[in-house]
Amino acid sequence: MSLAKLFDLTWTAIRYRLFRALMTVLVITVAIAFAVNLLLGAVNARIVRQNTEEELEQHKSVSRWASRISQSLNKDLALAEFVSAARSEELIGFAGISKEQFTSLSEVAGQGLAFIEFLETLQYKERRELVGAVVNVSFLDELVDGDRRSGFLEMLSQFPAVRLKMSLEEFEAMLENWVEVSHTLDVFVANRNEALRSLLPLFGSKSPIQVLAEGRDELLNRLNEIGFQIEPEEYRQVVALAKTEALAIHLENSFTQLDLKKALARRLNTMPYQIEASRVWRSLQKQRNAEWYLQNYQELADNKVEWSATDAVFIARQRLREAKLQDAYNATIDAKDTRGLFGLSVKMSVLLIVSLAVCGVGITNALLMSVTERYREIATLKCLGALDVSILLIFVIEASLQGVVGGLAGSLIGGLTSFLGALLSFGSIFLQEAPIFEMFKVFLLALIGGALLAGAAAVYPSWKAARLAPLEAMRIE
Amino acid sequence: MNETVQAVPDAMERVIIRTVKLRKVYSQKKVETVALAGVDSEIYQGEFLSIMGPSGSGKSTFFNMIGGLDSPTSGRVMIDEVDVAQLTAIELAFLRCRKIGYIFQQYNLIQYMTALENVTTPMTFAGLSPDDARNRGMELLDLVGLKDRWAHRPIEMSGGQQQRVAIARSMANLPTILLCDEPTANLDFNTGQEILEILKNLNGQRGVTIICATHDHRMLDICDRLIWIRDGLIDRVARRDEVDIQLGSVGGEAS
Repeated sequence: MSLAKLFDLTWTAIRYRLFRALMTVLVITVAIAFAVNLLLGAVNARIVRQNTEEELEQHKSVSRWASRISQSLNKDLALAEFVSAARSEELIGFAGISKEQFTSLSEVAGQGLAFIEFLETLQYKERRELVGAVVNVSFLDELVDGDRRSGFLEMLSQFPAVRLKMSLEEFEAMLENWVEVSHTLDVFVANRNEALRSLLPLFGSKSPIQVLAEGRDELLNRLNEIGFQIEPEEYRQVVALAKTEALAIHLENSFTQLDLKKALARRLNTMPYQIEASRVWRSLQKQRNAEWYLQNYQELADNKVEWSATDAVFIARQRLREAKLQDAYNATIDAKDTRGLFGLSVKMSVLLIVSLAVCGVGITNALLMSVTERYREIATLKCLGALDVSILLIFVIEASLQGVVGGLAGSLIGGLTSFLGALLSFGSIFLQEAPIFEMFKVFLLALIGGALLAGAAAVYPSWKAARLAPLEAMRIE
Repeated sequence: MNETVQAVPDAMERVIIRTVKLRKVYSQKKVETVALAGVDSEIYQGEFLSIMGPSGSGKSTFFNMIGGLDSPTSGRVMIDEVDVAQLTAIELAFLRCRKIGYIFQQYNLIQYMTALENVTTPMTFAGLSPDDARNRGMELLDLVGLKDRWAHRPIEMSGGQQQRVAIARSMANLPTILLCDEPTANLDFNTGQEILEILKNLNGQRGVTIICATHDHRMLDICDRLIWIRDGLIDRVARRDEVDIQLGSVGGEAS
């Protein structure tokens, strides 16, 4: 019997029991919608997080440079910098080591950092017993000492629940090499802090950001001279960003001047103590408000004006965008955990599997009922010479059809809801790089998944029906 | 009467169905019910056979057994000298599709199909092309007098009409054997008569072997041979002309 005819037969049967079929489709639709919503939600969050991370990095480059040229290092920060290897050449210069040394040392340093991070995951009691009051790098330095190390390992054996992330041999080997790493870190910290001290005369009473905003060539030369590596181009970028940042800080400070604060409160129709930066920035987004503020700034505070209303509008927009990015970044913190299925978090994948399992049980039940209801029909078909396989196929095709329809409807609903959800909570940040391709991928997955799920759920009931002897089937009513 | 009596009809050459020591035991909850207790019988090609017997006599079990719808506990059913128990599922399906036509008391039409679709379904199982199936389906519907109702669904037809569609369906692949399970039990006198007429014609004109399980005494009038079954055994076998028929008696038994 041809597949087309089977298909036709199934379709007629579905039409005859349209309501029952629709209910099954509804179950599949809901489950698939849920699954698609979860999956796309995770995808959207990941994309938003990526976008925000990149943009926030740019925004933060000023403050990073500001702290680089003003803040002295300690060994812990140095270790982190050593492992991240973002500016390895500069680091090699400060530490006075060769490239090969750096490669081998950074491996040990990575292990050391992993060990320190492992210690931080311990419970309070275990941590107190094992580590004591000493923290971070200094603890590793201590462990280099043989007695201290054997004491630590002995103590460790008393906590069976606590397991090192590496084998004991690796641990020992790491500690053997740690001496060198520790020494290198010491040199690095000393040289870098020494270099920073030589910058101090350039600062005077100004903040690092103000110094960067001035953008003097002297600073660029001086930085490269003492061992920092910064290209003129990057320097100019940083300077440009620093200028806006300096002005932003200046303006933010001006909000707190009493006269201006009162004027702002009147303007914003609120009390002076309720004036806060984000609120003022929101109003300064408008040219009209910015011009008004400029005027007041001149009159009331008698300040020297170094900015125009357009500048203020630009900064206000930037500030708000930054805040929005930060919000989005914080809201998508879950997207970091991608250990589950399809890059979902573990919790979400469990939820996904459970929901699909519930759906599977629902479909199986619906089909079981549909099969039971049709025993007489199945018996008749078998009397007329239908093969077991034909009966099986009739039901599997029926279920798969329902699965495809349910999958289509479900992925549309799920996709739409997750899209609107992301649009609502992230707005333009989401839109600038909406994951269209990923969306289609998930749609396809849902469609195939729905059909497979329904088809698989149909196998048991239809197999049961197909194997019955015709008479038995007719007797069961 | 434990001995099997075979009344051999004249001009009946070939045995089409043969049963050898057919036994069927239903065991449920440790209680064994013997439905058939070793039945030997022969059914000849082209005859019109009635199987009669009171309810619970094993008549239906015997009937189902020779139709290949149920498997015996022991003993054999041979259709065309082939043991049904030896057939694979696919061969069995082939047998049901090509060799045997079934007519049920409940008609068992498929509710969501039109009369024509019901008739053509076995043909598609047999691999006939849709056009051929449609043509032959219309022919068969014409045979039972329902040509103009081919597009009607079972619920739109009367019981007699449904049974006629069922007969047309049973003839779909031109089987040599037609098994009728109380075909007239659900019908009134006149409609039943029509059905019997059609069956008689099929037997007479096409030479189809017809086996009827029935309570209907009118059947005695048209069948060639009768088998009475009682307590799981063949009680009596008789040719029609050997049977004294008294129609109209109430409360009496035919045997």
